[in-house]
Amino acid sequence: MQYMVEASGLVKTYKRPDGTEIEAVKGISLNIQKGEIFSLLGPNGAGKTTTISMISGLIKPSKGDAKIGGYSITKEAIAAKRLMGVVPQEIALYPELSARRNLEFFGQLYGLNGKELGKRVDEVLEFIDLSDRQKDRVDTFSGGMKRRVNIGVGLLHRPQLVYMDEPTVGIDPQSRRRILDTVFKLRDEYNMTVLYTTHLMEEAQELSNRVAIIDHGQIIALGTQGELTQQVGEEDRLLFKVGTQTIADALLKNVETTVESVTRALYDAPSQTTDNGGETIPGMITVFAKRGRKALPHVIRVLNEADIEISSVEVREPDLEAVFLHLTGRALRD
Amino acid sequence: MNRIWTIAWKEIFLTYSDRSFLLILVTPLVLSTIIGFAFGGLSGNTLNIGAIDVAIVNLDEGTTANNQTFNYGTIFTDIFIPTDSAVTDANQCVIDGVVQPTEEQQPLSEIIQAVALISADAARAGVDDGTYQVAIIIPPDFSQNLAPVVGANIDDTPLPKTTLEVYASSGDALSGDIVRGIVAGISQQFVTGNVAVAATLNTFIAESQARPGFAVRFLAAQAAGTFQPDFSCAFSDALNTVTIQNEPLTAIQKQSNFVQILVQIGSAQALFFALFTSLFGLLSVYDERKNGTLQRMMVAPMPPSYILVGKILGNYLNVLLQVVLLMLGLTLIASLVEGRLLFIWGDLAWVSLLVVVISLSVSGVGSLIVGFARTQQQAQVVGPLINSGFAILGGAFGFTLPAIVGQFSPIYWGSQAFLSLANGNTDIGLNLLVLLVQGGVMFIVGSWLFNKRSGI
Repeated sequence: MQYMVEASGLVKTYKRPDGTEIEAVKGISLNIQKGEIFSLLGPNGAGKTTTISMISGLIKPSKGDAKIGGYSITKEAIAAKRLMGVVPQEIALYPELSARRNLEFFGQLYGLNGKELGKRVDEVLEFIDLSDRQKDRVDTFSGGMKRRVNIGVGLLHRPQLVYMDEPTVGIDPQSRRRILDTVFKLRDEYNMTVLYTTHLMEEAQELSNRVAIIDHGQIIALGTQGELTQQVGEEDRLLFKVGTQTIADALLKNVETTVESVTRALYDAPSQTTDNGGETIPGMITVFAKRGRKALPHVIRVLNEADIEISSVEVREPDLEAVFLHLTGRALRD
Repeated sequence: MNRIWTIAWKEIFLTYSDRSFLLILVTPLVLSTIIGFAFGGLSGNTLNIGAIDVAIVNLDEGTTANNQTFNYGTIFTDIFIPTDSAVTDANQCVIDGVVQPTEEQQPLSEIIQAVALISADAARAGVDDGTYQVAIIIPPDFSQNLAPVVGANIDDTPLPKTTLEVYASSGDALSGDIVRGIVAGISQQFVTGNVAVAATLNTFIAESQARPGFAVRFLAAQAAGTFQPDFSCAFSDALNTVTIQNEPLTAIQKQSNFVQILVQIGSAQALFFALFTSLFGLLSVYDERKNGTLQRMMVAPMPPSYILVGKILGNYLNVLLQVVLLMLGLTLIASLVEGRLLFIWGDLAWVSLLVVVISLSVSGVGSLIVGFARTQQQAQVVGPLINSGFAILGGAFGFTLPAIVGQFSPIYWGSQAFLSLANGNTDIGLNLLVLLVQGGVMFIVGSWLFNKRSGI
């Protein structure tokens, strides 16, 4: 299989003012297939931006190398850089220039000129839906609009690979949604490969074909979401609210033994809260299953047969948060 | 190359689209105009400058012609360093007992403060170290070459040829020009005076040949030593037909004092403010790093050196453009004040060359400061101090320091060269050389350091 990105043994070491060294990235290796959305997920300071900076040729690795479309980023940097577009975390634009002038300037740095440049700028402005504001200075734009121009600059030369470094930081939900849709569009309509870094588990889950979880400069898990969750052995949780009815232990045993993939069934009896005049919390049956969605109708059938009235059902799949928690003992947002 | 121009053009566009930059353009124009009005007024053609320090070395060995001893070197020196009696008689000359009326003029001593030295080398060294502004060296054969040729047909007599050395600092071209003008005037007077002396003596000889009686009396008087004609009036500064005051020394001195000050202070101010443009233009690399545009350029498919060259080229062009705009602004102000279109800078080709070279020097200072500073904040504090120091040394604030100190500032060499050109004197080779070397070294070292600091 031909990979768009092949990184092997990337190490980045920095010297502290006191002369000691700190290893920000400790030997990262990863392959990204053409046309996939690949996310680097990790908390702030995990080494995501350093990794992406080495892969994009912004900083030189202390050890290791990365190939972009077959070109070494250390030895054939210019050829490798031609294939990639970069969308940095910060709004890397000239605020005093118009959106169009910003696009033109960076387009020229990618070798675009004349009519071709004008055509590409028009296309990108349309793509980011800012054609009507193209002549306005960027410093008059909202945060979301600036983000869109920031993305547009990275797409101007039609790269095969786009790096997006936390592109949704600090924007409103509507703009965030628009950016996530843009990422899908890049893959699905333009067949671009996207390397996406985020510290938001929801984004990585929603977008990615594959995810690498990074912590303390190392990849601690890599694969599809399913592979990752299976790696850590997490199970789906089926949650049934059952009101104030009494649930016999025999029923729970029945669920465990008759429904395939169910490992455990627990019951939390209804309770009274002590505040607000004593509100009743309904009873809850929690069923652990390796394939929760498959087990769900069978569990419901067993409960129905026992005349249990179910007021609500929720399936909680094991998520990347749980994986990170499992691997590091810390929550992703810590 | 296109990408380098793209980056350079971006630098220019960002600088000139910044409204606060207008202040940098307007301030030197306003300051120069105020200083021009304050010290130059609107009228008067007299150059209002302090006395020029001149060292005179008289090596003239004198000569004898027709039993008359001549030492023009001594006469020349006396004109510059008058004795008490010479001072008393400065404005009068007695011929045949009649006091000859003379033009009322500015005494030379008000313009020139001269001292006599023995060694030509010492005089030249004095100019080099700024003790004197000009040195005049009178050669040993000065009188011998100038002595009147008696007995020959005056019309057929070739004009005497001799060389007076006027050694002036190129950094103070105006003083050199003034002294050269005076020396030329006095030398011309020697030539004219000699012709008069020779004609007088020839008349005596012709008369003696025609009238034997006159010849006998003439020879007897000469033998008795009673024939002692006083030709000194012929060489008196008071009778100088080419007077110092009226001599149109150079093109710029035909203009008002206001224009002269505008050229000198205006050019120095323009360079002073251009130093800031250079400094802050290069400091923008820190802002670019902070907002990510530098990194964005660095991931573009081009060698990183393009970014460095583009930024430095842009900075250089910014400085050049600013100097040109300020010169145009000063020209406009001068024209408005004078009430006619007036190009105050002299020969356009030389001025253009000077602007190109001085811009290199000014942007070299900027890159050196930014290169040496450890942080952006350090450069922001130290840079203006250094720029102001250069401005003071270079005379941008209306007062000049001794050349030995001033010549450390590119503003000094630049403004003096601008003044020379405005003066009609294109002898600015030394200024260009100094600016080129000074600027080139600063530019190269600064760019190298800037590259290291910027991390490009």
